[in-house]
Amino acid sequence: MNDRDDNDLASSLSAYLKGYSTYVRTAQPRPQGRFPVTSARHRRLLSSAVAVLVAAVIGVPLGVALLLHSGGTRSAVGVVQGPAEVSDLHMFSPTSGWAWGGGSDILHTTVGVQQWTIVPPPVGRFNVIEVAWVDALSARILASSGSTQNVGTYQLVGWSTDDGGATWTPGQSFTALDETVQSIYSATALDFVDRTHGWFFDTQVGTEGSPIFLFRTIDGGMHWSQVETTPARGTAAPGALPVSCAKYGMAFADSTTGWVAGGCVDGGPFFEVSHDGGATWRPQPLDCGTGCAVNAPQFTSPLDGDLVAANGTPLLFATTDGGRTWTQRAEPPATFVHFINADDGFALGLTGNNSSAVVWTTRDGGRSWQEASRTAGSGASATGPASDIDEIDFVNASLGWATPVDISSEPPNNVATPNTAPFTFWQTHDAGATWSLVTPTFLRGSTVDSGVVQGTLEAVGGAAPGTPRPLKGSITLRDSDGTVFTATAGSDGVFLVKVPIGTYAITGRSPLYDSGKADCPSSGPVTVTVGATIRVVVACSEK
Amino acid sequence: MIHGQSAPDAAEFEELLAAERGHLFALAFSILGDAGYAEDAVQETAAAAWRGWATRTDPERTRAWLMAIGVHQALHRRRWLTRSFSALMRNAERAQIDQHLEADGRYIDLHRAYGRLSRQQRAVVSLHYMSGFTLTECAELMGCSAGAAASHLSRALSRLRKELQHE
Repeated sequence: MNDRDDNDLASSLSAYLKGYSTYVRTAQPRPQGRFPVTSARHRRLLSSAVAVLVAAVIGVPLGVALLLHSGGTRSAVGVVQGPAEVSDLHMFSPTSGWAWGGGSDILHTTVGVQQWTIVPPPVGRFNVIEVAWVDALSARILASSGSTQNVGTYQLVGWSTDDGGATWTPGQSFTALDETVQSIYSATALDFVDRTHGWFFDTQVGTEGSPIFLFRTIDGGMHWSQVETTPARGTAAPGALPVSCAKYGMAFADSTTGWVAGGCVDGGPFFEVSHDGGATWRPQPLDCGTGCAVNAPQFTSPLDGDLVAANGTPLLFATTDGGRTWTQRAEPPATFVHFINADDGFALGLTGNNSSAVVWTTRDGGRSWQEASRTAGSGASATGPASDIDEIDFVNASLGWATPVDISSEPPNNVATPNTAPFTFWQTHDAGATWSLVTPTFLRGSTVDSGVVQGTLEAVGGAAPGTPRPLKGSITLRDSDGTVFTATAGSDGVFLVKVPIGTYAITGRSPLYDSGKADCPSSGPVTVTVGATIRVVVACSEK
Repeated sequence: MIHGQSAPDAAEFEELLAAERGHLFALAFSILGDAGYAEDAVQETAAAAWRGWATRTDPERTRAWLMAIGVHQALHRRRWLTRSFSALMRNAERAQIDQHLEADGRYIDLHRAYGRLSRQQRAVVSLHYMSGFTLTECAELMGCSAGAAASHLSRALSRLRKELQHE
């Protein structure tokens, strides 16, 4: 390509990019959990700042007082500054639950939302990309070797805990994604129906005809196997999820039956069901009209579940037979719907030009909805949540929490924006009619993030096979991310090295074997777990 | 008075935001490719900027400071996208966006090729060709070195050339 072509490309880019400045939205989304932006944006963000301020003034003393009377938690080592944002809050009882503070800050509580222990899985340089709360003590997460941007293949490692995050166990790493089409709209989901059966769903939302990868574990995340692959183009294998349509998510009701949901540009819903753990799929009819898009269902018991669809207006469907049939309920007031059992549910959305946050309740399985509370979009008060609500979570028909939106993402390195505001929940004891602020205290749990590899470097075989001969030399341990650790074997061949937990390929070299030019392998990769001592033999085979 | 800041501070902030909102939106839109997400990013930018308003280190470079926050918000959105229910509502709008950006068919190939760039590549291309920033300024706004910005731009252009030749 010559200079003229380069100039043409630059001119075309400039002209093309102007389109981003001149686009005017005409299709405004309906009220939903992720609120639309309105002309009242300025007033709303100011009210958010006020809400945070109120939390700081009122909540901190409250949190400290609660801490003094809480009796502490099992492995806490001190009060620390908590995360600026919290998502995925889910309480299994009024006192026990989980939340995600971003990064590796997994939060666990046994004393209620006013005090959390940060129990980070020792993922090292990996990034936590998905979390799944199984029960009050068990959690499963996935950590990725890649950046949070897209592109290419990366390694995933599942981590599990069954003791509230006091100890974490890594699973075997696996390759998760080899995107044939780059897209920023990656959609992932991690779903466990019990401590052992789980699925990881990976696709690209924004692309009609996006590739799909579905992995399954039947041992709590220690091992994952790919059970479904749909290419970005061409034809899917018989029984696989079809090419075309956008896929929004996945959910399983039990160890065998699950759904993948989405929407198609040709107007039909995308709603596929599997009855064999995700290996094969077939369409399930759902009467929601043309232009319908479907969200993944949620289950509150093996039989009772709900799903939200949209064809211009939100639609709610419910099942009482484990998903064999879905019956349409009354039009829900928002697309963020959260049921705690077959009857009791909550919806969160916005209404009006001032984007007031509104919570609705149902006591009859979504057949009717009642407005519980609303607050003004400007001038946030202490009587209810500000409009910047991200999620709601209820543990019973009256007690619940609203999580504010993450307005404080870290700035780039060259921008000095201190992030000092404490995180604040809104709490209700009367099904959302009235709310109060809770500023939690955070403690950091003690975790050990390393183990020991101990072994010997030996010469085996040769003209006179018999007792292996120890070799002095060097040992190399390479983890799945390519990070290298080294150790030295003495004249007795023994080496010992402390390394971060993970899976390592181990090789050794000795000046007494092939003049130090050849690698001697261990019998296979070793997985180092928290606090464990792994024993290996690195053998140099002599002819 | 809000957060210890004076009313004139709040007025100045709103004035800046009103002046730059369009540019912030276009920038986020060109990086994210979705108008709804871009609006969310602008809102987060505004919220983050307000929180840091009193402590910004160089008030004379406030516009660049705001732009840097905006670029960061667009570059580092992931969980918002994966968790958002709003995708349910946006198929129709996406078709409108494509039609608008393809500009009556003149830029169909370019639009598709541009959409296949990485987010950093789109950011540097937008900052350079849409907003007119120099590579050094692009680097500052993206929070990376000038060399990295130049590399992103070079790879982006190389990929665009290749894709357009193959179309």
